[in-house]
Amino acid sequence: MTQAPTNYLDPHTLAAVGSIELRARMAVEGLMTGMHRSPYHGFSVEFAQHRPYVPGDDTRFLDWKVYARTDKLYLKQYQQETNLDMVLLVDGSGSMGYSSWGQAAGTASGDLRWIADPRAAPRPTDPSAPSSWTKFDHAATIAAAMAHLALRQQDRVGLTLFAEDMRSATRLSNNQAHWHGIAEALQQQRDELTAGARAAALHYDAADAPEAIDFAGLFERVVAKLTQRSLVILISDLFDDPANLERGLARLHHRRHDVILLQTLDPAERAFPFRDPSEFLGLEREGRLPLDPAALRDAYLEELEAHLHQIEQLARRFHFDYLLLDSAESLGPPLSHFLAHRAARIARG
Amino acid sequence: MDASPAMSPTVAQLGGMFTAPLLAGAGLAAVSVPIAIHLLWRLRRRPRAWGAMRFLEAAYRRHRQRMRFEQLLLLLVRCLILAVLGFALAGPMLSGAAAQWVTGLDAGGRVVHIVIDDALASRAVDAADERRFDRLRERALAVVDALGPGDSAALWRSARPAEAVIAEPTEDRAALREAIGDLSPRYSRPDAVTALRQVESSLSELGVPEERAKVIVLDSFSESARHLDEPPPTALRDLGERAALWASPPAPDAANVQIERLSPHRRMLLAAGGRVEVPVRLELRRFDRDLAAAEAPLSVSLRRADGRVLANAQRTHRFAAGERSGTLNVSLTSSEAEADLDGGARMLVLEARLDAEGLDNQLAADDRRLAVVELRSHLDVALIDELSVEGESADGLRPAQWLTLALDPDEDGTTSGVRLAQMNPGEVSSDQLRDLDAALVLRPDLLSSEAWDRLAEFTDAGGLLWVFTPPLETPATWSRELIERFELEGWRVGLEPIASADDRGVPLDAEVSVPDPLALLAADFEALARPVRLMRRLPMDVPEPALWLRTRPEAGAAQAQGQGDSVEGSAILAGEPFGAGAVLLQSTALHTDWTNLPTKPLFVPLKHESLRGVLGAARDRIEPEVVVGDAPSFGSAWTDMTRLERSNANEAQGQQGQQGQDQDDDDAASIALRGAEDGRGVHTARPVQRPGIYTAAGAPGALKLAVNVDADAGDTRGVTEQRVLSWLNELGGGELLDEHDRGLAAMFARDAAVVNIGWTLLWLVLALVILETLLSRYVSHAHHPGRRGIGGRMVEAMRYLRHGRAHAAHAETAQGGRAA
Repeated sequence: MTQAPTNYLDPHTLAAVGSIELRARMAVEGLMTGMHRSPYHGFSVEFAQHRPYVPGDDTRFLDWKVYARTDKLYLKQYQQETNLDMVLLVDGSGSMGYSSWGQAAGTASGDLRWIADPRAAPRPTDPSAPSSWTKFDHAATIAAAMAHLALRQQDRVGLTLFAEDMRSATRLSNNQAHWHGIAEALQQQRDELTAGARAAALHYDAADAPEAIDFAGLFERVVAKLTQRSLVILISDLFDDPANLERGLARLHHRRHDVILLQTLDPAERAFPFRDPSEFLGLEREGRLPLDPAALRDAYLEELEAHLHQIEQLARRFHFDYLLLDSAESLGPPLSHFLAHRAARIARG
Repeated sequence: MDASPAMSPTVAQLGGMFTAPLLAGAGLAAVSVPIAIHLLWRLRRRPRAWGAMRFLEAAYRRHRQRMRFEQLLLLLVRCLILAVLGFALAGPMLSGAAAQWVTGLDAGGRVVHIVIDDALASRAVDAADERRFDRLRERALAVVDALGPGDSAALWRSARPAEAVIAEPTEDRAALREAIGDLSPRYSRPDAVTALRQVESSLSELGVPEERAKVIVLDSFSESARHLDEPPPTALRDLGERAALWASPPAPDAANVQIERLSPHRRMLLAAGGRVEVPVRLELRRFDRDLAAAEAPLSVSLRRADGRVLANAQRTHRFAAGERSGTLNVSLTSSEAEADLDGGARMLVLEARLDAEGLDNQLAADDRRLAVVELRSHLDVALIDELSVEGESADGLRPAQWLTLALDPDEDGTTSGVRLAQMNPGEVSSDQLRDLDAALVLRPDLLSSEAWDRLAEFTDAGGLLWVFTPPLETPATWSRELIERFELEGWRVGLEPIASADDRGVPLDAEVSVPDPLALLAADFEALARPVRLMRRLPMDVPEPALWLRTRPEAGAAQAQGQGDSVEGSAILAGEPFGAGAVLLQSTALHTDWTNLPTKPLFVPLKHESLRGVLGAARDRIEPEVVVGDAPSFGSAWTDMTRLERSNANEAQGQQGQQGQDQDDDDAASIALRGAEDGRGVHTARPVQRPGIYTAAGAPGALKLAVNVDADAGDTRGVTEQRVLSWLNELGGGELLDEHDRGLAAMFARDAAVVNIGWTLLWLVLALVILETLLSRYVSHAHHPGRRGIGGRMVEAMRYLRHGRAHAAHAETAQGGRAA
């Protein structure tokens, strides 16, 4: 049975694929196939437009062919073509390993039935495939797809994985083989997260969990490695103090780097649909918190909304792009957003 | 050990608050269910890995206190639902203001009428030296303590005169306790019937429904309670149906010895000859089941009003085994009584006292008896006779001379105490009669109509009129005037004198009972009367009370019938009160042709005793017998008197000990006198409450009154519970109170006017369920049935029942579809 191309952007489809490399390829395929009628013309468009000649214009740019056909003088305008350094910052912290899929499937009361989207319902998967779609899955697939698209255009791409601190970083390269290294690093981090989550489920000990991220220190180290202006794409749940994030973003902004913030959240984190008395186990050494979730839902959502609002305000202040991603949603919007941002950047010169 | 009895009534009272106490217990036990669920839910928390912990912790820190409060509030409401539901199904009973508050209805409290026996017998002390009345008072206080919120009580005392202490039922416990504490026993007989009639009237006037009306008769129920043996009045025969009727159990037996009566043979004494002799008759009585042989020492004294003792005597009466009553005659002689009399009159006090030492005598109040006698220097008597020799008898003595020889042989009144004066029948006037004590009319045939009027006025004012048949053969038409003027109903006097069939004359009937004024002659009367013969007489027949002396029946009596004679014999001397005085008629003349009476020994004492007896018994001056509880009235001699003041002189020597326990002395010390409607005489404004000697105040004259305890009220013997129950049954049904106050309180509480507030509580349960549902939704922000509280689950259940399996199947299909 063949899949519709757009389904390649669906996490539920991608979740059935174990390899991140394959997931990324499928995502790019789905994206490119679906936008062949789109207004975007790729990254290598040189000719921009014609404009009437006015005295004083450089005659080198006269389009003689148009003059020969129409007997009118027009100037050809060309867009400047530049190489892009794209740095992917992917969050591999403990909180990124969260997924509500497994809980939904394993919950007799069906905690996620409130979600109107039927695609959010658990689906039968290949026994060899992972049984959940974590935020990191979502982020890694997006990162790999973006790297694939950039490398197609001969742009240099680098990947930095971080958790409580920087875990790994690949060099900037436009070599097509570099993509495999990126995918492999993402896959390795995913495996670690999955193993950690399974161990926590069996025997939770807050001391075993990774610590929270310090974005200020992270960006400090990332910026130190960048020698020219770059497009920095941060894919994370951004569960850190906004003040730390602000300091880090300010550093990037000061170096005139362009930044895209892709905040990835699980639908359960955004809706907090739990009803039964639960003991919440923090994935980043927060410890245990027994409570009645229904009683605290509104208060939790208030806290979350306030945090998201602060993140959005930060992005707006530094003129960075910000996109909030739902790990249950299609991968199309962030990738399209990326392409649009790329086009706009070229247009700005 | 001590806690058990104190706890038992508490548990019993709590249990009594429910018709099904077990359900109330089950409701309380069910409270543990939500608590257990609450605790189990805390243990059964599901572990859940969570990434966005920082927001959860922040929210938790901010709302931790509120969440705990909400959870506890929800838990409390759920516990309340179960507890209140259990109580509601258990049929809780509330009374008084509590029921009114809970139900919003005017449930009203009980209206309790406490009737407490404060009669003479309640003064009896038991083996523990506790008065019966004190025990009844404690019970009354226990009843007040047992009153619930909204209950009110009235207080009545049942000794004669029965009256209200607090007539209007009040909820003021302090006022009730104070009123009960101020009560003291009185000296009169019990009159529970009158008290209950007043209670019945109060219940009727206030319209108290029968379920709220309670009547508690706290009575010692001794033999003196005559109402136990008498059928109750019609108005009280359904009292037990109109109110819950309770009575205290009868008091145990108590023995009593009393002076039943102190009777001076002469209430008017004449101080002739410098010596005063006072013959006194004492009647003793004892109320005892054993009636063992006993000696009762007595002292009798004569004293002046100022307390000075003129004469006294000590006697002992020996009760034989089985003897209940006895009589003792004592004669007191005083040579000092005449001192300072100065030709006037003086009231003297007679007092008899029983020395109770060594006697089984548990009631001391009736061990003393008082009487008042009047001492006079002489009597002024007029002989109304024609001053002529006509009518002389064979021995040359006219009737007036016979009387003079009998009454005043010295003709100066010094030795006999009677001063005689002559008066012409044609000159009878009010002025001449004013200062007289008695008028002896020897020629009634000569009296004019005006003279009869003056004599009637004289008699009405307290004088003695003694009419003698004149020794004439003319028709006795004057007798018609006498009968008509003095309204002598039933009197028949013949006009013509008749002669005895026997030449020797018909004898006096010596077996006739002598009238009270001649009581001193009673012992010798038969001997004195036997030699007296009546040869001629006017036939006279009078009603029994008026008959003093009569002849024996004679053979020819039948012939005399129709002329006034009777088959029992003809009346010779008859008397009847008229106004404050009295009128006497002798049907034979003081003439030896008519009778040999003037020559016989009976003649002199008959005349003297008749004068002293009639004048001494005149109600105008001395009230012969007044007992506590009476409201006596007095004759014209008392008209100007305004008050009766109880003398302290006799109290100083009199009732020590027990008198000091009374708290209403001030009220009893002085009693107002009010004028009679006809302007003649006075009566007391209220019944006399205390025994003693009372002196009339307001006008010159030393009128005195002796008031004694009601001797019949001193029967302290106990009665059986069965008799009391029978009496209660005659009142429409009632029951006896428990012997102990604790039982009394429990029984009283059991009968509380109650309202079943079960439905009210069920409404409360419904309100709590709604509250729990709303609270549950608010607290848990529930969106599915499991989180909608009891109300939400009920709605779901209703939906299930309405849509049946189709609904359930649809729900299952929807879930399956999602899963697919």
